[in-house]
Amino acid sequence: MRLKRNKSKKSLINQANLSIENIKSQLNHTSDLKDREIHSNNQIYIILYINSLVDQEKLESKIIKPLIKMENNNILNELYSQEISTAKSNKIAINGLLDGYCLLIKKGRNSEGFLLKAAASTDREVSEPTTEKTILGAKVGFVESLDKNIYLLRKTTKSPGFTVKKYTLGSSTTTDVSLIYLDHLVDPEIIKKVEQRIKSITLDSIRSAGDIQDCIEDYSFTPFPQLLLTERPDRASANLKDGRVALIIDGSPTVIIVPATFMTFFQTPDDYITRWWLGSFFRFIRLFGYIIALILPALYIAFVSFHYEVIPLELVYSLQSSLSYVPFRPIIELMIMQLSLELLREASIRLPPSIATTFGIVGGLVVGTAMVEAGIVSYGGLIIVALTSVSSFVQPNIEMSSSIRVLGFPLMLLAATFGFFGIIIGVLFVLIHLSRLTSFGLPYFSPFVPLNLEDFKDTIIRVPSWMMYKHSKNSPHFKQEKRSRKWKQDESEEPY
Amino acid sequence: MRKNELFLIFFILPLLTGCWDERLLKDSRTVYLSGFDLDENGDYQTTSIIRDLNISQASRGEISISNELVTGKGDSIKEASMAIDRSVAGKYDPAKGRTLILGNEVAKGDIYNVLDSLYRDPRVDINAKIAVTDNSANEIITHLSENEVEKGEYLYELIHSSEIHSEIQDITLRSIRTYLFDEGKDFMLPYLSKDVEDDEVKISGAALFHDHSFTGQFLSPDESTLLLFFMETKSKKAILTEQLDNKDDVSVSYNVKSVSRKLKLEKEEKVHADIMLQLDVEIVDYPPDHLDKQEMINFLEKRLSKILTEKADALFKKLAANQSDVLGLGRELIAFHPSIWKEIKGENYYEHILVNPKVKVNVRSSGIIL
Repeated sequence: MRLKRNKSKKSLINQANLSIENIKSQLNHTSDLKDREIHSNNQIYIILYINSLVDQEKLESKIIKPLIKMENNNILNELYSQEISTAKSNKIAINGLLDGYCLLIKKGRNSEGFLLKAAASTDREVSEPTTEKTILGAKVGFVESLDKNIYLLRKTTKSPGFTVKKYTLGSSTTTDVSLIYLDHLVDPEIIKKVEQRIKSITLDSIRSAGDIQDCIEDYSFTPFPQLLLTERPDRASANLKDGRVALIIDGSPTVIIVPATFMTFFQTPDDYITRWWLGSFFRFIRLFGYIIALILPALYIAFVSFHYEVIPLELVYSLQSSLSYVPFRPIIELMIMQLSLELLREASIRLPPSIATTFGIVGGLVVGTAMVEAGIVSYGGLIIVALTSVSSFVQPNIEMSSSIRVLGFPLMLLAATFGFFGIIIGVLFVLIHLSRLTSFGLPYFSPFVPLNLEDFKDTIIRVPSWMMYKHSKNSPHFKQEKRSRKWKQDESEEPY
Repeated sequence: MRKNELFLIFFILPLLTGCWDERLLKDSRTVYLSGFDLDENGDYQTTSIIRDLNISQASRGEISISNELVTGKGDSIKEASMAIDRSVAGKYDPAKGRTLILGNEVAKGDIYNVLDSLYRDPRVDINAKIAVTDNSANEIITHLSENEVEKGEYLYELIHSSEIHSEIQDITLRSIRTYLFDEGKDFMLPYLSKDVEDDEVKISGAALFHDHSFTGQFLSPDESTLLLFFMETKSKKAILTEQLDNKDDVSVSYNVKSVSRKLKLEKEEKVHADIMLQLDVEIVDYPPDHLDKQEMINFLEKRLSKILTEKADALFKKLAANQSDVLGLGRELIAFHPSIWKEIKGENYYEHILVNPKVKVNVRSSGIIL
């Protein structure tokens, strides 16, 4: 029965003639669909709109008022709406209505109608992003509106090459997605790949950036993110200028950047604002923190359960004295600590910021020391877990920092069964896996594998901007002139 | 299918391993000092200090140190340590033993009998220091366990600082093995004794070894420093003091900055080894002063050269008497004069060697005052 109804609906939509009755029935006579008859200049007009999507003020002042006062019948000239288009079929008309347009039809001439934009807007103001903080970077973050996000990107990326391509995804509810790139910098191969992958998405509905990420990433079963999600227009813009592609999803403040390599996740806008050696130092710290967060718990387990001869003598005694009160194996001890820390972390996200601070102190300090005093964990274990979590927070991207937390557990298990040997095997597996990953066909672990020394300029270290005259291999189409510091040469030639 | 099988194998393998070499730190009793003795019956006796740091239950954070003295006897070193293992709670683990003491009786025998079991254990700290004592190791260790509780690695630091001052040869468990199995080279170990007056363990010199065993003779710190010069293996610091005149009671202290040795080996009736040693010294203590005058420098150089040459003569006589070729003349012969070596090689090849040392001192510096 239902199937039949759907079928009849479809046929109605595809019907060429515009019919108010048809449109109403296709929208299931929803009660916020309003219509209004207006008599003007000996004509009867019917305005059809969805009440909840339309700004009443705009509708009245920009459409209805001019319509009543209209003296000739040229609608396109007389109405003040931003966008006017003609709708010749029911399908176009309905899509327009759902986007916040109102449909204007001359009574008696059902073949043609006008779609006039009068959409209500409840966009949030642009504010500082909360998850990706910087010290000196712009205090601007993406918002939920697609158009506003494109505006934010365009403002920081002024170029005629700035290209926007719009897609509508979802089969039962639709979501607009925009693909943005700088035409003169981007590799056409990548654009082709991204477009192909986006077009192949046949999800019912798009809930968030995550849905799109799941569908277009190269490998789903890996802890490493291959797409960069960001809230920062400056970060997105910098990546566009590197020849990458941005995907903006309507209703989501996170923008997807593709393709992303491993080292992309270690770059922050701050690196480029501070002087180069400081930027390089922080980037090095981030990489160091990543490694620490990955292997420190595993190393600790290996130390105290297999290889304590490598610990300095004085440390052995103090570790031993604290460990001897702990009834569990080191692996269990660390697991307890790690899991309780994950609990704290997860819980503090849901709390309002004012309580979260108190919670952090009570949860972290009080519980931590009490656990040691009660003999559930040792001082050593507590230090290790604290250091690990601090190191994982250094990573600027949440997705990447979660990947270490996930990878840490199997590594701890390996360390508990095989000691150093297990850690080496585990790290080797991770490295091999990293070298095999690709992001939109580009090697993920570049510039390490394949080795490309030229690209080290903006990965582990950040060299001064004027030295980055050759662009990375990801976008071979662009070369910056090596002239930014020509003044130095000129100055030294000047006679005094 | 193949993937699933592989996964299964990898999943089950860790569970199937029969011997799991996990050694939990909390279960182990780490040794920090061990000594070996030989008793009248020919049994080995191992004495060890196991150190415990206890966090007292009442007031957390308060750490108290206690030393536990354990001994075990057996026909071999391993048996003796097994005997200890049985008597302590937890696992007896020599991995952190940084110093080994050989009792006098053990040292006079073949010391490799003691070291063998240590070399076969992969966990033993190969950089451990070895020392010989004038009495039994047990006595020294008992004394240390009572008196040096708070001093950490007392013995290790003691030996190490002597090495820094060029008073004894830098020898560890690792390096001693090459000397033991080198037919043309001997070595010396720090010689510990208990000072009765101060009630403290001290290094009284360097014990001379011949082949695998202690000769019973030891060199005073001055003598061993001089010997280290002849071996060209001095450390950064090497301060010596000589009395210039027996009557005037004037003495000079000097630090040797660099040494250079020229060795000439000739076969006549015996093998003659002419060693010419040049020392560049810095005067660090000389109250009569006037070091700005060339005559004074000349006088000092001449006098010091003479004194040191005499001392060196006495030193090499002592070495010859004990057949202890610490200088490695045999090794020199093997390397550069194999024909001579062929004639004299054997257990007591040192009998055929006559050393004729000569020392020349050059004063290079006199500190920051003239």
